[in-house]
Amino acid sequence: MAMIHSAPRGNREARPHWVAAREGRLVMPFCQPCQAWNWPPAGACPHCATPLTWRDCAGAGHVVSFSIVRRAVQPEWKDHAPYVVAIIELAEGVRLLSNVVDCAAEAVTMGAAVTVAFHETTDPELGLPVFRLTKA
Amino acid sequence: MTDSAIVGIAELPQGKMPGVTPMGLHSTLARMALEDAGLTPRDVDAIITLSPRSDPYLIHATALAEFMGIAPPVALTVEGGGAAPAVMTDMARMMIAGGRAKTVLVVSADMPLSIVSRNAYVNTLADAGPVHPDIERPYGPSVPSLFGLCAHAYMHRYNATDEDLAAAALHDRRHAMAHPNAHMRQPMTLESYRATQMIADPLRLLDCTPVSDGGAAVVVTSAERARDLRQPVVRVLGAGFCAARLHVSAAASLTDSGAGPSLRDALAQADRSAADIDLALVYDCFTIALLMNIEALGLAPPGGAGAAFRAGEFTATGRLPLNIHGGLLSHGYPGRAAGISNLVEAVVQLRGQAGDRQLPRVETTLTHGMGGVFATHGTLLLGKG
Repeated sequence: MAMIHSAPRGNREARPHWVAAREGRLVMPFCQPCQAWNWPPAGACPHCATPLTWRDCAGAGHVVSFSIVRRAVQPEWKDHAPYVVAIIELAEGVRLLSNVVDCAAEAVTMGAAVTVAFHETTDPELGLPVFRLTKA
Repeated sequence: MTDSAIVGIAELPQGKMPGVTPMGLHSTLARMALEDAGLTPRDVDAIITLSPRSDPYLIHATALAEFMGIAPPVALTVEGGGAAPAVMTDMARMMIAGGRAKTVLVVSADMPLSIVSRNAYVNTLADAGPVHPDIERPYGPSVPSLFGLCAHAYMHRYNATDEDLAAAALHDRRHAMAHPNAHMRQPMTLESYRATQMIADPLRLLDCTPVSDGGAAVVVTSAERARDLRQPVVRVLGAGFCAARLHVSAAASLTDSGAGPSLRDALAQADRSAADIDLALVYDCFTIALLMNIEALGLAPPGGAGAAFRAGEFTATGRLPLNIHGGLLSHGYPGRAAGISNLVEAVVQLRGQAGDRQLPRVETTLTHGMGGVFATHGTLLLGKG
């Protein structure tokens, strides 16, 4: 059964990301003039100060690197170790930190193809993008 | 610029300090460092401290002055992560060069083991450490797992193995065993390293620092005045800093520590070349940090630090003695104060006061500190007066 995550902070720059995830969409901040992604979200493009737009991503990507957390530290994670924390690069070229879920931690490999999935959080308005290994 | 010198140092054995308070520890280190220099608390006209996690105050440096019964006009508490020792020493130099102060007392100490507890401290780091509070925290990354991401990428890129990680841990432990102030002094072998539990793959327990009570104090004044004081003169030759980002999520590379420019700038300021460095003390909160920092500083080729350790290049008799105090991995990790022992060991060696550990020839030392997960770097070059 999918874990109910603690809600992310809903009143900061990343809010549209979490709201979209609750609706089953993966959106990331993009600067139109620079044609560049911006993550962590800074509100405006750090290069040209243009307000960022939230652009849909298809949800396909690969594992750039990962670590298996054997000893969780945050209270809500204590009962879920081992779990996988990974840097995912989306096909669109932007990287984000997330979890690889619904597989044995040892099944994750460097470069593995992944597809986005969405988990609920303790805030009914906010969801969390996570990733599953893409079936061959 | 008016040259500065480190004229007083103090360090106590790192580890568990039952019955000691954080302010008591700060005050003791301060008095010891001043006495080492032949100065008194009344000579201090500027104090710089870090805010210990074990003992927060509105302005910690002012609270320390109050505790010590002195009233220096300048009392600053700074935030610099593991690069703080270089930040604080450089601030002291600038104050002396600019005429703001004559005697700057730098105290960096914390008691995460006895006052906070090891587990509570590790939890705090996950919530208010290098983890991004918005976009990373919801996924449950521990600090070891953030370094684990880098370690995994490094091993993948260079075909490195756990023997490379272990080489760093074994080196530090071997040297810590000969240092009276080191926290972790029991022998370690490749087998005992491998026998410890995985914390965050590929990092085992012995890839991580212990959590220690400890820290140190240093006194900085002008090089001219240093000649009239008690100890052999140790000059601050140069300092360099760099920072590309704070969070792992913003890292352009997981395998380049980014420390290089801090050394380049320090060498330029000191008018020295890398070949002049006789001793290097490199920040190593995890084994992977030591490997990547050594390589980024140009002290070993990319992917080659593990092999250099195994070949003995960094021992006291090797090509470049490195972390001969045991590093953070075995000398100790006193919370916010982590890295200040690198500075103390450099001064002890430059003065020729290291006893059995004394290197035969030390003219110039490199001390490096790192904040966050390869986020910020501060490098100091010290030299014999």
